[in-house]
Amino acid sequence: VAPGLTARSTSVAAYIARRMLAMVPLLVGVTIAVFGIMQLIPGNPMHVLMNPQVTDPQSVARLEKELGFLDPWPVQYLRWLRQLAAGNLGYSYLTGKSVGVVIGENLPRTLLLGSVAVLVGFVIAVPLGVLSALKRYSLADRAVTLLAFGGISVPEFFICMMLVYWVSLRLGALPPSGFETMFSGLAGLPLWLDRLQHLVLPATAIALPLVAGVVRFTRSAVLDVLSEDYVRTARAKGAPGRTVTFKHTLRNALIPVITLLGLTVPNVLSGAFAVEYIFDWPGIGTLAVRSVANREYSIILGINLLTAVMVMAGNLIADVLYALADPRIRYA
Amino acid sequence: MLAVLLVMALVLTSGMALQAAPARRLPPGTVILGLEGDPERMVSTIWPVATSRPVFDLLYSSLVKPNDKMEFKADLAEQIRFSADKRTITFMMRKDAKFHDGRPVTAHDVAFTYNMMALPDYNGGQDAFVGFIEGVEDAKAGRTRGMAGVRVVDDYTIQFTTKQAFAPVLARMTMGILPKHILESVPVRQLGTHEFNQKAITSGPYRLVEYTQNRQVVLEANPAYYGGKPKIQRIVFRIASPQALLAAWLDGQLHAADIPVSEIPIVERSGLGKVLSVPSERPTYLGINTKSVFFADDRVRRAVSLALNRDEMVRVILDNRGQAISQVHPPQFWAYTDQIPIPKQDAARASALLDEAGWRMGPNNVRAKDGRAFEVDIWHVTDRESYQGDLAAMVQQQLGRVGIKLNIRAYDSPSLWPRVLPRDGRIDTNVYHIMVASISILDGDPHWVRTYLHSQQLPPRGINYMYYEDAKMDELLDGQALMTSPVLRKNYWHRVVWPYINEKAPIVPLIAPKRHFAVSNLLKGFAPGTNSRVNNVLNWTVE
Repeated sequence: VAPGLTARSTSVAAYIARRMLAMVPLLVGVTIAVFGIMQLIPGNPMHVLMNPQVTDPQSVARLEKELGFLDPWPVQYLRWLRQLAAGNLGYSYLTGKSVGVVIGENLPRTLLLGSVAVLVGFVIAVPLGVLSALKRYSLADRAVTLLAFGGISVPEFFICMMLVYWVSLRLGALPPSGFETMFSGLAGLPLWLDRLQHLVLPATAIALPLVAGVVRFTRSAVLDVLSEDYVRTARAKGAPGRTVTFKHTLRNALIPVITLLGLTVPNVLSGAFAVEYIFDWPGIGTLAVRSVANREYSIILGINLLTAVMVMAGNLIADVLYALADPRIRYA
Repeated sequence: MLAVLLVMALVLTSGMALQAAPARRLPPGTVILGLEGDPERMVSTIWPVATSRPVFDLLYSSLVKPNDKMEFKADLAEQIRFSADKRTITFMMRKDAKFHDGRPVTAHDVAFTYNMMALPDYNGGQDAFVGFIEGVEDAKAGRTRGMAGVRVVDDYTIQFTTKQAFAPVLARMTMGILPKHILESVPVRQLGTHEFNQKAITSGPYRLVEYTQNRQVVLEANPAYYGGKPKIQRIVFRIASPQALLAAWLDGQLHAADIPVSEIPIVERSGLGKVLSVPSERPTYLGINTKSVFFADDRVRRAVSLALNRDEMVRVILDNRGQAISQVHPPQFWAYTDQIPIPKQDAARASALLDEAGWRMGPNNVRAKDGRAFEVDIWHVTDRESYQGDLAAMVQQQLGRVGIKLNIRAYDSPSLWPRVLPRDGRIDTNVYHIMVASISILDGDPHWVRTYLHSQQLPPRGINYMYYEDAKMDELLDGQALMTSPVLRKNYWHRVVWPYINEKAPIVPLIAPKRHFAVSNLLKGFAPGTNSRVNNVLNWTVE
């Protein structure tokens, strides 16, 4: 192995280690903030469970005491932190199931939805952004810009409702909700095609605002590079247009887009709550919405912890990829 | 971009989408119903949630079951005998009832189920099902093993003795019976998380096959059911938000789903089925803080009642699918009477009462007394009937006409309870003033009023969140519970108790809505009742 490469690998590893260490206090801060905010919400799972006509309020009070809801919140937080240090995210108050298991059951479906949405979003957005920049002020550029602003401006829930109404209920083209057809008896490829049908609408709802943002970002990045001296020099030297576009412009312009990809992935996970709930997609988002309504503190904390880890990991990956793509960047 | 994505999606899936006509999506022999919330647990005695009711109705049998008028009919019991003093009730049970594992349902199982709720370690929230039985305190304190008032006479005869004559006793005999042979060895504290919640063995017309949290509950017909084998082989409850269920129904994925009144036209236009409307068990009312400086005077509360136009509420908010009420009780149940007239809006009389109480009309058409303007918050909850916000707005508008200014505040129910029911019993007289509320009267008995208005039920001991204290009211509410003659009790409520409640007006009746179900053309015989949407499941057929 070349000495330069070994030194760079060591430097990357040290950088990652440092960043991961720095994550710990940040995560603790996030959990303290979330725990504190949750305490501001009145009520607890016992108030969700109680049926005023048959439940003795004193039974509720007894259970609240037993479960520690009446302790000062720093005490409750430290108890949770101790549990976490032992590798336990806690238990659902309503079902007694381990939070790790509950999240583990729902996470794969969210990752599937999120990754498809991000992948499709970037595959569509990057070429459109490049096209928009290269054909600046053309009809195509204006059309893409208009659609992008539309995508950014329209709220996600409205996109969801429009998709359900038009694509599913009016056209009857795709199922409006769920993960797969119940009792379809399908297996193998037909089952996955059925799931794909169910995936299309929620993935589109997540991808649309993403596409809109990435198109604008890519367009701006390409335009910046196009105005660089080295691009002008390449053109002045008589380099063919394709070479200027692909070798000189895109290679440099897409570096910040890589960063954006790293930052987008965790946002898709945490930002899909409304989409999952509306489309009845059985993932983390739906779980989070129900957990907030049910005051399932441990599940909410678990999801927040997971989201925070993913955001930090996404940032780290983006930074590493950025530095790998651009040799001028040094790990410090 | 949208077009690109959709074209991609349609190209990828078009072949299957074209085949997915509503009639073909539903598997044969199966009925799929919408369920708006997760049942969470399957043990009948441990924190059952409202949404689990249709599931439990199919899974469990009980000593008695209510009909649509909430008259209790024998289920596991074949005969019911009351002692002369009405304190002892003997149930002779049928001998052909079996749990889904083939073991017979006996009096031992009934005793086990009820005694469980009186164990010292029990904390499943169903306290009212045993609170009236003799010896419950001793059992809860661990002084006795089981309640003295629960006696197994023989394998098929069980006897309950109450502390005193207790009129709503049959309404408390509806608990789903649990299998002693399976759960006896399970500590009661572990029942909520025990594997029974996934593999419940019960004795109703259907047995539990699969329960996936937040997704579905799958039930299969019990061929040995004593009421006859159900015609529908499999019933699936799909758990989702009401919006997602409606979309799924419109897409032909569900046979029946509960829908809000606002969605009725969409369902009717769809051509996929029809809308069935049945009276709801949840009347809506105004709960008033009787300790509030604004509402402590009963003349003011009566003025509120008189200032309201309930017909307008029914017309505008319920789209005429419901009715105005003069008692906070479902009008289709026996305890309600049409003989008490629905208060007609009478702004002049309401104003006169407010004047009499010292609240004079001030500037800006807001009343004032001792320099204090009559401006208070009106609360409503966001997680119950979707129309509660609209109802609060209408009350705001109608009371505004007589000089009471209301500001609307919305909360979800879990936020509300700790505010109005202080754990230490120290009532903040201004914590709230007036709220739109609804109550689910599933057992059909008016005894619920006692838990809301009796002075013994003030926080922290009970849920009298009107903070109402009145010796005469206490006397009336205690008296009705002792009246074991149904006819006398009914008359007592109609002629004495409801009129007195309306006179003092700590709770002000508003409207009784209907529940609406979107029902697929493929499902025949589906006729939901007020108390249960699956009450006639044995008559259902599906194409």
